[in-house]
Amino acid sequence: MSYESPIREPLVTGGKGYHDITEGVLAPLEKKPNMTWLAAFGLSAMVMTMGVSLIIWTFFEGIGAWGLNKTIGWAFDITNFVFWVGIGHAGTLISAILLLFRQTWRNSINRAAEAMTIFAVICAALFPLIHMGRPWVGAFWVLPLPNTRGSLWVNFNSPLLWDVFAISTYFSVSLVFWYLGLIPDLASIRDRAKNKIAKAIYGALSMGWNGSTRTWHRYEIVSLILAGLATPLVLSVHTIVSFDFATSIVPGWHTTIFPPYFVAGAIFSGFGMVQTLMVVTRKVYKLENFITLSHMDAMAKIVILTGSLVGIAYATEFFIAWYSGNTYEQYAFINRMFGPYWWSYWAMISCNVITPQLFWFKKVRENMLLTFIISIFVNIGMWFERFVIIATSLARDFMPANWALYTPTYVEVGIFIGTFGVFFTFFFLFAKFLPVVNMFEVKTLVKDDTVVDHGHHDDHGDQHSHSAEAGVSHSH
Amino acid sequence: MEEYKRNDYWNGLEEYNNTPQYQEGKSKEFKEDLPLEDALSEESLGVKANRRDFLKIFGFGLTAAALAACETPVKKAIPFVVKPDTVTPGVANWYASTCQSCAAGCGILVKTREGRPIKVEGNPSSPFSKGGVCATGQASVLNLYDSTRMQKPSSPWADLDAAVASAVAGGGKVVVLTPRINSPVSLKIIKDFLAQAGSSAHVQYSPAGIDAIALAHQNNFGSAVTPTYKFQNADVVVSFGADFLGTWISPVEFTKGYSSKRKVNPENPKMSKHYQFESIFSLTGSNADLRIPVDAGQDGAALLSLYNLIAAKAGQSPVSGVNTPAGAAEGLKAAADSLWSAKGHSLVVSGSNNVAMQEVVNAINSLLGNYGKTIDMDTPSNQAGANYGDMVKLVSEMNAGGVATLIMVDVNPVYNYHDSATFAAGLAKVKNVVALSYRVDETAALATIKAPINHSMESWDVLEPKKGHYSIVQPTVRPLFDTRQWQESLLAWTKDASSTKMLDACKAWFTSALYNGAGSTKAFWEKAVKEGGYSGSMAPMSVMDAHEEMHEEDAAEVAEGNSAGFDIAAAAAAIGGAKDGKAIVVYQKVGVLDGHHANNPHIMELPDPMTKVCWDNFVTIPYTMAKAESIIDGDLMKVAAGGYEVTLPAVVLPAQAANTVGICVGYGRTAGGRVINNIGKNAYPFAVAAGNQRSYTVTEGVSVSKTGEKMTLAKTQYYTGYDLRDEGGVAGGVSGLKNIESRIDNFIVKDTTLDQYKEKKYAGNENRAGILHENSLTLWKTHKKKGYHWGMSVDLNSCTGCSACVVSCHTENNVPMVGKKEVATRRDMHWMRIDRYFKGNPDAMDGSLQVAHQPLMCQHCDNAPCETVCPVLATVHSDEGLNQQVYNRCVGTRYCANNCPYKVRRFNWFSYYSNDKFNSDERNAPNGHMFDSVGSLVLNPDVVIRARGVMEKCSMCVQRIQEGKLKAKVARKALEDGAIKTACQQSCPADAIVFGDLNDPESAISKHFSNERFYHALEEVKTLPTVGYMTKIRNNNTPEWHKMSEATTTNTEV
Repeated sequence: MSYESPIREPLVTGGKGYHDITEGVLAPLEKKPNMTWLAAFGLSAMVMTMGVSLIIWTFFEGIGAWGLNKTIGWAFDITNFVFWVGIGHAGTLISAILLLFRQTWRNSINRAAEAMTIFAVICAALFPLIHMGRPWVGAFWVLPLPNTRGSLWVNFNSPLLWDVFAISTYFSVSLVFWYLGLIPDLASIRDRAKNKIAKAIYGALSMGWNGSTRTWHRYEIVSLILAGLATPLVLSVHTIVSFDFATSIVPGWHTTIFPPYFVAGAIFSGFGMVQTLMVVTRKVYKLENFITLSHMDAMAKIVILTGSLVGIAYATEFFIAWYSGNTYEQYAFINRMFGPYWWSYWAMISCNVITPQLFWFKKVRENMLLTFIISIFVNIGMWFERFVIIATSLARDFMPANWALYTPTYVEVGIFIGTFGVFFTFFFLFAKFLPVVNMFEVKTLVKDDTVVDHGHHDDHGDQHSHSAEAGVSHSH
Repeated sequence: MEEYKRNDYWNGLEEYNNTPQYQEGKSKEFKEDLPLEDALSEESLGVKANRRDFLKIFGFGLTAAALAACETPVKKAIPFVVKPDTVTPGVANWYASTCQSCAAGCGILVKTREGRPIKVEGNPSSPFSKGGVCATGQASVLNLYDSTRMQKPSSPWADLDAAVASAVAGGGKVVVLTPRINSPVSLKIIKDFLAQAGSSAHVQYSPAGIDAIALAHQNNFGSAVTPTYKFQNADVVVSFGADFLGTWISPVEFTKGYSSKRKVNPENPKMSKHYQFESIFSLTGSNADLRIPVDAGQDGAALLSLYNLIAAKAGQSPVSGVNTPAGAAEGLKAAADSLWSAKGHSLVVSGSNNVAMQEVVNAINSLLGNYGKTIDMDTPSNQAGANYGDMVKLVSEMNAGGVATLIMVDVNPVYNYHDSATFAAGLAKVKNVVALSYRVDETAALATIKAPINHSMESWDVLEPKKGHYSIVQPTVRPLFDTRQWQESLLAWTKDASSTKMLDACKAWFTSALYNGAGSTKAFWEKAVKEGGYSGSMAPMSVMDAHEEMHEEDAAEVAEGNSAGFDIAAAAAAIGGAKDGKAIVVYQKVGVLDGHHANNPHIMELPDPMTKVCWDNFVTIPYTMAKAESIIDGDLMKVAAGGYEVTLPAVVLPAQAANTVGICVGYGRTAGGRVINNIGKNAYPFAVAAGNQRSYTVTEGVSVSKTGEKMTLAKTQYYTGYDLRDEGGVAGGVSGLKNIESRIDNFIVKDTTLDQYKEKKYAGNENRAGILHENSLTLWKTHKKKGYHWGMSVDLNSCTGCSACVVSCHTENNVPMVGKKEVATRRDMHWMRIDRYFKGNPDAMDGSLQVAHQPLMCQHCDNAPCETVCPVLATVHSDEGLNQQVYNRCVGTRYCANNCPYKVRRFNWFSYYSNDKFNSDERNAPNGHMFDSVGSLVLNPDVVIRARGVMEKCSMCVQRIQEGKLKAKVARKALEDGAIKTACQQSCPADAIVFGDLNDPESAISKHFSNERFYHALEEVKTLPTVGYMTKIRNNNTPEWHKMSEATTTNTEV
């Protein structure tokens, strides 16, 4: 068991033992879904269906179904892409970086955060795919596959190609990492499952986990390696996403500050989303003892930090625009503040820079309603940040004769809302069928004396269950 | 034996004779019994084959079955059985002809591929247009394939001919109503036809014509001619509202002449001076050195003031009682000084259709000694329009029941006559109404007999646009539908016509009237047809003479009342005093012109050069009025005068005369075809007849008011620089605007004044040296161009913004038209556009507001920002310096377009050739021609139609480059400079575009690239374009300067 300083708040409250953890976390899986879940899942699935229908409509009709035009070639599509990629970042940060730094408070939220990453990246990856005029060829022409077209190859100069690699790597590493972390818990579920089908499925998914010391040893090594692999991804993915803009010549995009600025923004938005989800999850699933106020407090602090970093980045951009003497750059920023899209700029500033400052107050950090509201503001603000960067910069670029405005159509808005449907549909499925809290890692945070008595908790488990549960104690 | 029907084909004598054997055989499908029984007999079915044979057959069967499953492509190309000598698939044939989009009669070359005309280009050997064609002419090829044409006569031709013959024979007056006819052959045909009738008349009608010039010359000089204006000889041009570069009389010819005087020669820099006094903002006004807004009600006063100023200099007595319009006094003085110092090589023109005004213009030109120098009365022009009084007379005659048979040829008075109700009422009283019409339009719908006519590309004719200059109209395709050239219809209705073929009539007339005795008559004719025209010997009776003959009585009347000479006092009295109230100017818009050919998406989607609005007509509102009444673009305005009112969206224009609004004609059609129907409002009823002329200005009883409603306008450019509230608005108030204006000045449109240019050749381009220095550092490998390196230069000084290049580009490159809704969503697909920038105060009335037109196409950058960002290498650099778009490879990420600082890339948002939106009547079928089998014949087979989801852009006419290179290769010659012309370059009437090989140091383009005036747009971004611009050089535009500079102005010899 890791060392806890006596004055530190306990990370799991309520005097929970190992078994209580298992019971508490697996309760939603093993019971029939309640009406709240059914309603929420049904709504999400409907929203997802709407989004998918609109995507199909776009395939049928063409990108003209959206509001883009000759001047503004990207707006909602890429805004949504960056937005969702950014959200994913918190998950990786929590699971990988905090693991490397032995921040054990992450143990109770990492599973949900990683799941969020994966679902967010799925939503994000949708947009580069559907925003193409011809996705049916684009989907594989952007891959450097051997082909019969002679020397025709992908363009390694293009940031969009880097995106392909960055996103696919990120997605696969995140998925493997998440799945790996699930295996011991899946084994627990398998062991507890009474339904034959469930047992078979969870059995297959847990890949024959037996909880032996050797298995645990290998598990620890692989998860450290994956954490090491995932850590640079936290920085690289959004850096590369920012290259989509930074390497272009569009005033307002062509900025060297973008990589750190985007990474900070991504973590900021990701934690905003984690907060949103956690406030709801801990309430709905009654996990207040696992996801405690101190977790929420820690996340709020990260939100202040990254929010302020983003604020400094905004200020720096402005300063450099003025300092550079570049007339296009200067105007791009004047236009952001006072141009036709001024409202989106000020929405961004107030949501990203001003509102999170409320987290300086402990009372706010511990008030879940306020935390929820502020986290929603952060989500909105970060969406607007990307919109401001992408659309307003394009709207007023080099030649005034080209200037145009952009209004999204219902199709674009619908697809964006639809991605929330996708996200939440996956998330609710996840919450129903997989443990939202990493049981075995949380167990490392509690001291359960009863575990010595082998027979005591074995009333409904078998040998595997026992070994899975007991397995955690090897880290004592 | 039944009687055999002799009009069927028979197959052998047996059938003809219907022999019993034949009858027996006929009932059986197979003549002989099929050997089925043999085949199915036991022996033949018995297995005799051994295992090997079985395997062979089995294998064959299997393979055959598998192969049959493979889809074999169905190729429907049918080769020529006997290839015509003149048609080589893949090779274009060019036919010289004459454009009939307006009366100017520019010589054209029609490009045909596999027998179908696909492109119009100017004929360089045409004596006036010299290779230029306007936007309307460029678009005219699409009118040929208009599937909404009248495709067959209202009754079979034989019946129709008989009906007309009986109508003519039925007695009563027969009238042939035509547009202005410039063809001596056609005039003769009409005359011969009418000779059959007891009482008859030929009336010509131009709805938007200018007939006052001829009448003024009749009054002043005794001959009713519209002279030829020689802008190429004019060092000072003063125009009172004449849009001679855009729509007035013969804009291509005038642009050629005018721009030749605006090109600045570095060795001896000089440039003509151009003053424009006008109420609305015309294309010509936008090119003027000094453009003074004068309200439509005061242009007479302004003109008389100029007369007085010139008269004073000439020692003549001035006209009394002239109130010089307040704002124009300085400008008029400057103009008068300039004119006087350029006596004999200056030119004053007026767009007014008022005879008295034109008389004053004549008097000024006469005082300046311009007759015989810049005004050529010996080469009268037939391009200006017919006498409107004739039409007015005809309408009253019709209403009085005096016309029994009216044969209307390609005219539409129900739509464009000023009092169409009266015309229609008159028409109802005409017994026989025959419409020879291109479509069942508003007028033809009322005719009892409707005969479809040919497009000019299906017709023969000999035109005489100017006296002694004959231009031949040659068909380039057989009539697409069951139509007949209207002259042939008239010939068919003329009893003793020697031939009903127009070709015979043309040949006969041409060889008898013009044959000069050299060579055979056949060779004489064929040479003229090949070259497109003939100038030289004069026919005994020119079109001009024929027209004069028609007006003999009128001429006699006039001669009695007013002998030749100037009576300025009378003219001044006729003009009357200045009128202060609001005024309407009814004008023709570039492209649409009088609306006759406007059922054409290429014309409808051509942005108006001044307002950049497509697909609509609108009311142009002066900026001062807009400010006072807070009107912005798109506000619906109610404009009323003389009992007629229209509600149209406002478009605010700077420095338009404070009380004048402008509305263009050609819109508001109900039966004009699916492209133009129900767009805009008809402005023709505002232009009422004032005496015998049609007046295009309304100065009394005009009201203009806001309705409070709004309408979306489709514009290709929203930035105006003055309307900060509009969508093109500039953020950051004055400092933001300053930023943008200095950006335009320093990096986009560089301009200077002639004085500064004389001092230093790089005036206006001073910052280029610094930019080049800063750009000299590079991390990039430069592209190697071993063979050719194509480059293009646009001389902003010559470019007038006439937009001919835009349409030329569209027709050459099969650019889809997308319709109003999509243009309003800013999704026009124009590969080439003309940006318009204003400079100066929008409410300045002193002429300080200036305009620049900048054509923009793909700049073919060497450091192309688009190329680096494409993930799939769909846009790459050629080793000849072209930036190439590979449609097949494009996946449509649009990153290239985002990263293009010039925004010249266009994305295929929809499948424009198959999505029914673009063929729907609701959207006016913007791209309808790509949908139907007839319309798609217009497409250039050398340029692929782009699929949905791919990016496209200017290719620098790569198909023309390839063709030029191949031709040189086949001829085993080096490619000559200028042998390849891009579509935009070819069409440019101002010769503003130069294209060529930069690797050839002697080429014109290389010289442009090393010129001190040369620069690239946004050069400091270091995209290294291969398209560049030459600085715009203006004469200083303040009246003070014009006064001061007179002392130093040297008279230049013509």
